[in-house]
Formats: sequence, structure tokens, C-alpha cells
Amino acid sequence: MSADLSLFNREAALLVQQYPELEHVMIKGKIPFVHGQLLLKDEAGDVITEYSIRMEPGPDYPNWFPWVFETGGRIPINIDWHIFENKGNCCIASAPEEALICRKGITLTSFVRFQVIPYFFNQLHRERMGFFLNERSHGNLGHLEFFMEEFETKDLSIVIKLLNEARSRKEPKSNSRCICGSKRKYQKCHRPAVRKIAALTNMELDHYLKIANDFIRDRKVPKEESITNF
Amino acid sequence: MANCDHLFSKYNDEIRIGSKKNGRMMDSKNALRKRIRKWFKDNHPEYEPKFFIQGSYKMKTGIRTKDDICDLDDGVYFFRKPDVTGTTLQGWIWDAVNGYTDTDPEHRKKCIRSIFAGDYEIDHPVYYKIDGAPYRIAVKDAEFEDSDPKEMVDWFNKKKDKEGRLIAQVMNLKGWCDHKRNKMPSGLAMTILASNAKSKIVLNERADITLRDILKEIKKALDNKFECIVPAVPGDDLFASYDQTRKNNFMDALSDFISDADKALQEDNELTASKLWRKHLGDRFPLGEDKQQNQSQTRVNSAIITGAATSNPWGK
Repeated sequence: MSADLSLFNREAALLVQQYPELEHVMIKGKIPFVHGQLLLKDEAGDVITEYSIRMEPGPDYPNWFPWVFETGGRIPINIDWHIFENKGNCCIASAPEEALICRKGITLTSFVRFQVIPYFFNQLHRERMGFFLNERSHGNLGHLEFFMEEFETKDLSIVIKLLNEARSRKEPKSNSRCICGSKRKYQKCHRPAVRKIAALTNMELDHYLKIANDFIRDRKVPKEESITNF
Repeated sequence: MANCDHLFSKYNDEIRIGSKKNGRMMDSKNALRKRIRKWFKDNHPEYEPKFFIQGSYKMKTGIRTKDDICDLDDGVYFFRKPDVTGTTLQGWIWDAVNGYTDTDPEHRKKCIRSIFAGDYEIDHPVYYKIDGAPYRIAVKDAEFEDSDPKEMVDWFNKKKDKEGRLIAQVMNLKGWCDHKRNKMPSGLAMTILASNAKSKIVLNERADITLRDILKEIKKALDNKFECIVPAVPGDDLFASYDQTRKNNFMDALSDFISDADKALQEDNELTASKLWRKHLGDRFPLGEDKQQNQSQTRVNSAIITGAATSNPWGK
């Protein structure tokens, strides 16, 4: 897979119309990018602060998020600040979360509005108050936290049941009891979440099932206090 | 989410060497230099001492301990090859400064220490330097060793920021070690660890946030490799002699401090937050007011919280 550069360029042209502080740069023979100031505004439209950013298509846009870099030196290249230390790009979401968002369909404009701006607001929260409002744990635990949030449970065995349910590609009858054991009807309980997660491929679901099973096998079941803010 | 930055400013003022004490210490330094010059002129005129203030005083990271003691390192330099041992050369400095203080000077491994009881200490490490060779320090009961204290000062000066935030944080860390005692690392070690940590983060305008960030980076580095290399000749590892007990003692203290620092940053009540800082910095850290500092109540912070609500950043 490789990034769809013509799509990136078309969407970048639309993006800079809505965000005039950003500039779309195309140089023949080079990867296009968008750079400039990202303004964070309050509800009244007043600018609270601005970050210098650069956005590149990355290796597989739009199947994965574009790469976003903070270029003003305001955020350290440090994984604890959710910046990948190898390339210096922002870790905006856990892998399954990113996959599902992209599978649903993104444009650069929706990406900036719903992913990039909240991410930088969270960075501003960290800068002003010393901690992120919400964040995922590093590594595989962060992926599991996403599924636990989606399935509204802290019980990893229920996560595994529901991931297997998504993997089976067969839905129980609507009036059946939910497989989570809640005694609620499936359609009123976990059906929407399982349908959402079922957008992941079998290979992806197998991968996350293995991670979840490994955590249980190694008795690394996430403790309540290690699960952030939900 | 109490902002304790102003309390850290007061704490820094409290542990800083005050102007009166500093004035007395400078007078003593000058008097001791005069004695040393005269002693060599009278006894060994072929040796002409030169002086260079070094260490924490030079780096402006010096603090008053909780016993109200501070120190000053005044290096004595001879720009010739000595024809005596390092111990003898140190002994000459001992002879020169002897009698100036009420108690006898201490002949320590790498310096002669003059003790101004209950007030301060002035250390005289002794060096020689010849062209084309590194500085060498006199070591008691041993040969001279390569050692360049200016290199350490230069290294730190390159690391420090113009706002003085790194200096303030080194003082905080030294204040922490002084409060805990129990074989916590030296001021030099904390200076090196903090300076290394600084290059991994962005110094925050708030001292409480920066201190927590530096503590976390120190822990990450030491979890990776428990060492503290002096960034100057001879590149000693200050932790090389630590046994497991001493290492555990420091790492446990570090973890406890980080844990309480995290709690303090998330605490709304300023008094409660200040008590968490006090656990580690001692009662020279001021108590905050018993009031809520709910950051979300301000318009801007409310907007930040709303704006960040859907973000869940991750990391590999």
C-alpha cells in the first residue's frame, strides 16, 4: 500500500480554504505536505493558542492517518508526550481506533477537526495542567483500553468474548441475551459496539484477540487504576 | 488542579544562599586565598597558586541545607609539574589555611575543607596543569588524577536555559536529597541527572510540572541503566560505588516522589497539594492556602477541557 497523493492534494486544497493559517505545499518530485499554524479557539472563536504543525500523507493515506508533526519545539520528542520517538510524529490514537476511523472514511478536513485539534487541545491541557485529560497507555495495553472503553467493561474476558463475536461475522438474534452476561437483549446491549468493531479485518481481530489472551495468560490483566479515565 | 508554581518560587528563595551569608563566605574565601598566597610566597615561592571558583557556587545551584550550611569550592591551581606528591601539596594548603577557623581544617580525599561552624564550608581542591596535558587533581594517599572541573561548569552552562528554570530545578532536587538524607545522591549527581533529563523534555513555565517531568525522566534513564557519568575528565560514574541497598533507597524515594508529584498536580486544593510536595522537600516548602483551585472554572481552561474531551493519544 502507498499513500494516495492525488487525494491528499485535492483534500489539502479544500483544507487550507477552511484553515487559512495552513499552507498546502507541492514541489515536483517531493511528497506534498501542509504546514502552518493550527489555531485552538474557545467557543467564542477567540484564539487560545497556536501550534506550528506539518502534515504529510504518511505511508498509506487514507487507510491510515496522515503524519502530523509539531514543528515549533513546544512538545518534546518523547513517547510520554505521545510523540513517536523514531520519526517525531504525533501518536494521535491507538491502532485499532485509527483503523476504524479510517475505514469509516476520513478527509483531511475531518481529520484535522476531529483528531488533530482535540489532540493539540490535549497537549495544551498537559502543558497548562501537567497531565493529559485522557490518554491511552503505551503499547498493547493502550489497544485493550480502547476495546474496554468501546465495550464499556473493564473485564478482559468479556472483551475477548465480544471480539470473538465480531470475528465470527454472525450476529445473534436481536432478542437474544447479550453474550456479555448482562441479561440485557443483545440489540440493546453490545450489538452497536460489536458491529463497529467488526469493521476490523479478521487478521486485525486475531491480532487483538491474541494480545488480550496473552494479557490474561501472563496475568497482566489491566488493573482498574491503570485504565485511564473512563 | 492546584498550581503550586508560586510556592516553588518561595521555596527556592528559602533554600537559596542569602546575601548576608554569601557576603561572609566571599570574605572568608578572599581571606583564605590571601593566606594561601602568602604561605606559598614565604615557604615555596616556586609554587604560585591561582584560584578558580567551581562547583555548585559557580553554577549558581548552591543551596542552604536544612542545617543552614552551604559550601563553596575554590580550586587552587599550580601551572607547573609538582616535585612533591599530591598528599604533600594538599598538606601545604592545609598548613596555609590552618588557624583561620576555630576548628582544624579537614584533609579530605580530594580537598582541604575549612569549616566555619554552623555557617558554611570552603573546600580547596588542588590541581596542577602543564601544557599539552589535562588538569590533574591531588588525591590524598594516591597519585594525581586527571580532572577538569571547568569542563563540568562549561557543560552545565551549555545545558542551562536563560530563564533559570534548570538551575531552580537542580536546587529543588538538592533540597529533596538534603531533606531525605539517608545516603541520597550528591548535589553533583543531581545536577548531572537533571541536566540530562532536561534534554528529553520541554521545560514548563510551571515549576511543579517541570519538577515532576524531570523526576520521571531521571527514573526512566536510571531504570534503563543505573549510572551517573560526570561529563568531564575523567568521566567517573558517581553511582559506581552504590550497593543494592543504596540504589534501592534512591529509586524508591524517586518513585514515591513521582507518585506524590502526580497526585499534587491533579489535586484541586492548594494546601493538600503543598503537603504532598512537603513530604519530599521538607517543611521549608511553604504551605498553600486552604482553597480550591478548580482550573476548569476559568473560561480558557473550560475550553481546553472541552476541546480535549475526545482525544485519547497513545504511544508505542
